[in-house]
Amino acid sequence: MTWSDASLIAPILWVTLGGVAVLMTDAFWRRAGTGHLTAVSVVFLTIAAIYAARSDASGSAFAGALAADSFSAFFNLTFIVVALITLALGSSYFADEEQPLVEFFPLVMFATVGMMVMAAATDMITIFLGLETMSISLYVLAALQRRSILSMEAGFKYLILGAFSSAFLLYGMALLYGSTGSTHLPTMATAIQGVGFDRDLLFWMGWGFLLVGLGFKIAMVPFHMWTPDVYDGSPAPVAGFMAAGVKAASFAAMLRVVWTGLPALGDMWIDMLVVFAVVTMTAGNLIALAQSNLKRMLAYSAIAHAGYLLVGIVATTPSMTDPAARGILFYLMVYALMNLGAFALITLVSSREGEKVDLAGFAGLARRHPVISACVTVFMLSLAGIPPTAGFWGKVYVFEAAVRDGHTVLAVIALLNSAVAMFYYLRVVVLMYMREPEDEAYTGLDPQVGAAMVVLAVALLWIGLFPGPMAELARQGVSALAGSF
Amino acid sequence: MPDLTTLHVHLGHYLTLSAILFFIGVSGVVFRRNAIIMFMSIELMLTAVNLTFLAVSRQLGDHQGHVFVLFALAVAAAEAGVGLAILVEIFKRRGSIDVDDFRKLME
Repeated sequence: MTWSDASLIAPILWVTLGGVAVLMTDAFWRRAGTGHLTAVSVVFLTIAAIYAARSDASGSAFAGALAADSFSAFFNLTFIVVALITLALGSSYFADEEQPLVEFFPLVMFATVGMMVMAAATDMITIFLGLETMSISLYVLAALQRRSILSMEAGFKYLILGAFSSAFLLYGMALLYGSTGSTHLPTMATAIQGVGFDRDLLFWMGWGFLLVGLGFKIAMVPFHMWTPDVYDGSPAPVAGFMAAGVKAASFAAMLRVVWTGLPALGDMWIDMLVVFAVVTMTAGNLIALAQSNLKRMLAYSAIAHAGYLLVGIVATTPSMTDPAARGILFYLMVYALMNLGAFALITLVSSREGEKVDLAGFAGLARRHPVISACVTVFMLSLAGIPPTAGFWGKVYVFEAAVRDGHTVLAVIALLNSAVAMFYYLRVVVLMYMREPEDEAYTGLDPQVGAAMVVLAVALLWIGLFPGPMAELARQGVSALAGSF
Repeated sequence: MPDLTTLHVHLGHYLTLSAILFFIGVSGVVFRRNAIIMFMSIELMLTAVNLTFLAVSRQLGDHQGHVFVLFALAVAAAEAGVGLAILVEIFKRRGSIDVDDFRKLME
């Protein structure tokens, strides 16, 4: 490791250092509550964010294993924001336990490191390492509430299926290494362009397994079975972190991998992805309609959003000005914000024992907490993709790119799906405003979670009204991605 | 009886063997209900992948596959550590490691 390598990955190093610092703080400066741990984490995340935001240096670090450019900077900022909000939600959620679950803080930091490595990785080895750093931290986070059997089972289920899918991913990588002769993505891309792979069994099997492995992580149907159970059983802030962070990191890696192979993959691959995209969003939306438990509803909605993002993957082509990739980046950032908002609502109303959050529990929430209800309305409108919220622009960018690429039918199916999805998102809003509150309905209010919700809602409205700057950041990210090949 | 002195083992054999091992692992995860056996099957899948990496690496005369295997081994060990810890905790509470008993989430 040279000094220039270290300075290129400064944001990742600062978050790593932060994770270690939180562990040390807990070991040597044990106090009641979790405020001091939150403070240490926030300080290090803020330093990392500053480094990520003013990264004018770009280049390739560690002999081509990681790339530091606008693409990784965009995702670094996304993950840092996700981690900050998660900490805001979790610090009070876990402080309430008789014994505060201090492991939450370092694990969130290390999972964030994994996500950042995944987004910056330009070598299959680093993609795998980032993915596992993220996943192993998340297995523990899902199982964090040791008093709740639900949480333990969620962690175990996530671990078995996650390890199973990682094995597929790894096998795909091994076969691609065998057929292209390298694990370094740009070298692979050159090899792919030079030789025809039409009849190469290893190459096609490799892509198939790679897609299965990534499909598990992004909750693509038919590899989505774990999602509802794991989200339902995990502590609410962790479920939000999973939904927002894992999806963004996996799609970042997927984008880079797909760009590597696209010249050789051809129409059959695109047709296959179209089928996956349609099935994923339709199944996700239809099953979400039938849910009465908010956490499960959001899990199926996460599956549907993976389908919308796959529309972008279908339409993407490696170029500096690719509109589909720009749409994906924008969508991922916005999805992270609105989804965290929805999970903040669950954090607010769920009991600490991991009980199920029934939709009826929100009846009449507007009567008691008008500000919170207004925020939730923004999140739900944004998830449904209604202007003037940011979710609308995410969908516009992705679907417009699909139409421009000639996938009009796919874009129409995606629009019809969005219309179906409106029903179950708006149901939450209707329940809050139109019904009388139930007796045992939620009455308390956690100021920290409330503040996080207000910040998220304002950000979503702001991006919705002025999508330009964020779209410009996404565009810069895409042109940096194209430059890294 | 084949003449063993002329029998050559080359890349194709290694790839076939690792594919067979991998799918033995897959069927173990899919069909067995004992959590420990499922873990062992996942380890078998990862080992099969490592064999592919090493065979290819040897064939190409390239070191990247070796590096990958070292990382994959470390990751597999970490995963098993976390998995067994969670499993012990579940066993303490439930007295069973049969995954068909893990049904609380589905209710």
